[in-house]
Amino acid sequence: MSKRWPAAAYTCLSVALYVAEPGHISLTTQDRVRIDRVAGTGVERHGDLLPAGTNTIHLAAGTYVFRTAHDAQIHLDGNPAVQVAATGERGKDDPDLVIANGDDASAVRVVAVSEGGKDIPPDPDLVIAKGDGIPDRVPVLTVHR
Amino acid sequence: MDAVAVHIGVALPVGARYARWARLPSAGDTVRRLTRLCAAARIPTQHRLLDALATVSRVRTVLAACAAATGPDGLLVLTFSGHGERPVPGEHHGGWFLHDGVIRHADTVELLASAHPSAHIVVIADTCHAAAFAEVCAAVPATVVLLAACGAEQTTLNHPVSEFVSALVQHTLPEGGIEPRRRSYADLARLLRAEAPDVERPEVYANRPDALRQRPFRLGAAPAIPAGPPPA
Repeated sequence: MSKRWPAAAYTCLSVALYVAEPGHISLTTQDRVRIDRVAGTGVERHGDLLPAGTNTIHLAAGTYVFRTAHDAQIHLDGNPAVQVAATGERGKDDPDLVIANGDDASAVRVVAVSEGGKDIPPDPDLVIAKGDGIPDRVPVLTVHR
Repeated sequence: MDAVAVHIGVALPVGARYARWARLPSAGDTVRRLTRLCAAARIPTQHRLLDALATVSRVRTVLAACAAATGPDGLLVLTFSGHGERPVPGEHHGGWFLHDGVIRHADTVELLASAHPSAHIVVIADTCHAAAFAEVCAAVPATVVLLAACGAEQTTLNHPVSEFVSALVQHTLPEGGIEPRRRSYADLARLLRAEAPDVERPEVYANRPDALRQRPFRLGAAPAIPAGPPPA
């Protein structure tokens, strides 16, 4: 396959949030992002777009996804009811999500997928994109527990 | 003058390669919404090629016929909703996944090139890597305006209803009315981008820059709108 132009790189970090109980998280991004909630038939928009910077958001129980083209940080503020999954190497030919197990301020690339446990993500088809490629570069997600 | 629309929607191509791909419920919905939009814009003839009807062969046949029949100052609206093929520099400019294979953008514009040079062609790409189509538009003698759901190196998510198409219809047809608002394509671009995340940024492109000042979905002789902010 030909190399792609660096200027035309496809950069995307997809993050899934699994919220067991209602609560707040802080999300820091360098671009404007949309939070989508995973519903029975796909994903649906959740609230207004979040401007670049740090935003504190309230999430009811459920599964959410957001995407960004830059490094991002999530502050859980000790909330144990939220699990975070970075879905970096995701394309239609390799749609498996991975669960991030970032504790403290470690950069997440990450990781551990439990078998049959609560960390198993929902059907990845629900959050998959409508293209045929995977990102050239996956930004770093840092989770602050 | 004449006007015709061709709407293509493919939820999932057939074949082993696509077995693990996501089915896109928005494909059919987008075709329905854009059919209504084109009807409101008084486009009398519309072809809908959904899923099994959207084979490479049939799409090529319909596009060739519609382009060839688009005469002086005519209007041809081509819409696609489905999976998009990412362009590979040096190899191809990307394409759209149809029911039984991909139609590359270079092939599509070759078909569109038979439209009269004074005609307008509007392409709505509701797919990943949507703006990649802009790379090939210069090869078409007619004026081509591309409304793309995202950049060439971006993807869109699998919403049941396309966020891009929903916004496009909302900003083109007020309250479901018949008369499109007095907005230009450039106005549409600003409005669409204002409602999208940066990772999924709609693009509006024209192979002739003055076309961006024209009202959407109008026949070729439609007057341009002066540059400026859109009316409230």
